Amino acid sequence: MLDSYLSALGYMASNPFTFLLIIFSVVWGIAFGSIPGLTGIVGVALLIPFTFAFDPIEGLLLLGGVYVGSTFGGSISAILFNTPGSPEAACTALDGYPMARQGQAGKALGIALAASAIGGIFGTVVLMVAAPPLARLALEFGPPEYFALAVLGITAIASIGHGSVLKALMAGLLGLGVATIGIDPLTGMPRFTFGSMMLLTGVGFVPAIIGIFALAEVLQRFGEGPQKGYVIDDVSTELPTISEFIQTRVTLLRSSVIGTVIGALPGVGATTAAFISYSEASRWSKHPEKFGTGVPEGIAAPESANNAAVGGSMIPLLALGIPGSATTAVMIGGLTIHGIIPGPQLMQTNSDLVYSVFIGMMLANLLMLIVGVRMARYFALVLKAPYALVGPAIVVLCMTGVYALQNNVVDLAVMLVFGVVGFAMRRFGFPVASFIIGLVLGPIAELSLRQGLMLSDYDVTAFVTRPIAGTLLLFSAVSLIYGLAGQFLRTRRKLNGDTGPETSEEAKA
Amino acid sequence: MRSRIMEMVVVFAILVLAVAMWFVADKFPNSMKYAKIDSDYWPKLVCGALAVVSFLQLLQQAVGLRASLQSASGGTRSSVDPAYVVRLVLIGGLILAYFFALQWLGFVVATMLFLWAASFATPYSNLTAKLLFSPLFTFGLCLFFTRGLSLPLPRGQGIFYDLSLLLY
Repeated sequence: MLDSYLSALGYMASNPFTFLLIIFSVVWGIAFGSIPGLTGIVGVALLIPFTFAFDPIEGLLLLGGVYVGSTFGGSISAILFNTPGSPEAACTALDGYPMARQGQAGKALGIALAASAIGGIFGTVVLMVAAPPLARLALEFGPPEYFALAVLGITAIASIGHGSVLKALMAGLLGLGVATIGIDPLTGMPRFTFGSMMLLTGVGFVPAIIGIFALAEVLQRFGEGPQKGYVIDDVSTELPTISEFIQTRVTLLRSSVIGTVIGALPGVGATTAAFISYSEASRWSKHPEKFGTGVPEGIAAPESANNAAVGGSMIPLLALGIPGSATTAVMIGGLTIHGIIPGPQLMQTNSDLVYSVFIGMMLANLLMLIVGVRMARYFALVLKAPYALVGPAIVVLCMTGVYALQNNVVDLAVMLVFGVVGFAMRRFGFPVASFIIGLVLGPIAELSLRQGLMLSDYDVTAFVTRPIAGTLLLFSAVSLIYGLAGQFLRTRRKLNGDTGPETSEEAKA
Repeated sequence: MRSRIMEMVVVFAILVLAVAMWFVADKFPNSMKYAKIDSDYWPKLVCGALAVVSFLQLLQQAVGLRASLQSASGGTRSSVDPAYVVRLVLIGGLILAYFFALQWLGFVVATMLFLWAASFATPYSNLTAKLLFSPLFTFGLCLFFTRGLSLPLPRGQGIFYDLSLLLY
């Protein structure tokens, strides 16, 4: 293995052009990630024809760099405009934007950038040292395990946010309900389509989150008129200090592990990783009620997880030839045009390629720290423009990006509807995070539950007797009890008028 | 008080929606092969749970409303700023109009009109910026999407379709 790494390093050192390619790809990825609707998949897909002009290693480095950059890029617009550039950054907006509104946009961007790099490096290291065994572990995941994983995320709905538990549950259940619209993946029957052809494909996730975040924000800001409190300043990106880093170390580590494991599971992806990490960060926090108000952990958790998932999703791609995400599925196209078939033999037959990709992804994550600081700064210049121009421009950008996704006006209609839904949810105090967790995890939970029941001959105990599924479900139950008990104790303390250290801090805030 | 009642109306509407959707799910076509885990299996679980939680929330709000009525003898009347409603309706209407205009007028004309209308509808004194921003942003974005990325943009209908064909 060491020989392979040395050989790959030698190739890259003797070929400085690869560094330029990585820098370009990271910049390209960040740009695509930060524009709503233009996700990393589009960025990778657009570059695939160009990889034909390069050798396979350079081509794959180019695509890998875009993947890394785009996963972080989404957080820039999420933090500065409450407009997630990509689905995996939706969760970052929940705490990133409130932090930016408190005059700490630069800090929020710095946390997102550092967390992305740490998560990305963690995922790549795991990819480098444990790709084959992790890929085999991922194959152990059957429907019960996927269901248990979804339950783990869903059980956090009740503990997210600082408002009513019942409202959080309602929002989560609404999300789960919306996710059922469209053709039933098992029986092929249309559900809640009411005869409309447009609803057969279900509710698109990207139009929905852009509507909920970006459009709802534009409606709110225009409704409230010009206010000084809305001015986001201090946007010079500042990376977290050592002490701030130490404070979030547990969140970073936990989220990176979650991101890598979930990324390695075929068909789940970075968005799910980000939401489950956010849920877990909120659940294990001493101050879960502060999540959603602009806490560093609320940015660090999803950002480290979604970038760790990049490395994770490369594990099944390179070790088994199975794409771990939509972007890696597109990347297979880039490999096949060079006559390379990813799979178990790839590491033996094309070790130079595989190990160069490992090193390239590591470099991409490190370069992202440098490039990201600059790009976030340029992006932030937009904030100096008056909202009378920026607000409508955001609407246009969202409409254009969402339309370009599938050349489909229905997606625009979905975005508008969810803009109103997002606005109403804010107005009546329903947590948006719970709704989106339901929307993301609903399809996974439903399909895996039904498949699992079918495979086990409708024996529910099969879900708890399998080691991985049982452990995850046990963990879900324990953490649910822990979260609810914490919430109960906090409510009781408030009712008793206890002004302990926590409540004093809240009062100050 | 008014916002509490509004909130109760919203929760009640969700409760009614959940119950209605449960009955809609009950009418889904049956599949012999998947009888025990048919298409209605999960939607009924979700709608049922949503109905129960909504009912509990409604009860909680009713108790809260009653308590506040008793303690405040009529309570304070929270008023909604009429200017807020006007601004909200205006921008909402403009966005909706833009959605339809994209289909009829195509991207370039609809976007320029929308940006002009939205910037003039909000208080901002720089007239030059308002006038120049719309065409510059529209053509810049149009070039980026159609030439740079080769991605589609709405072309509109009739004469506007022909105009769009000339541009992209």
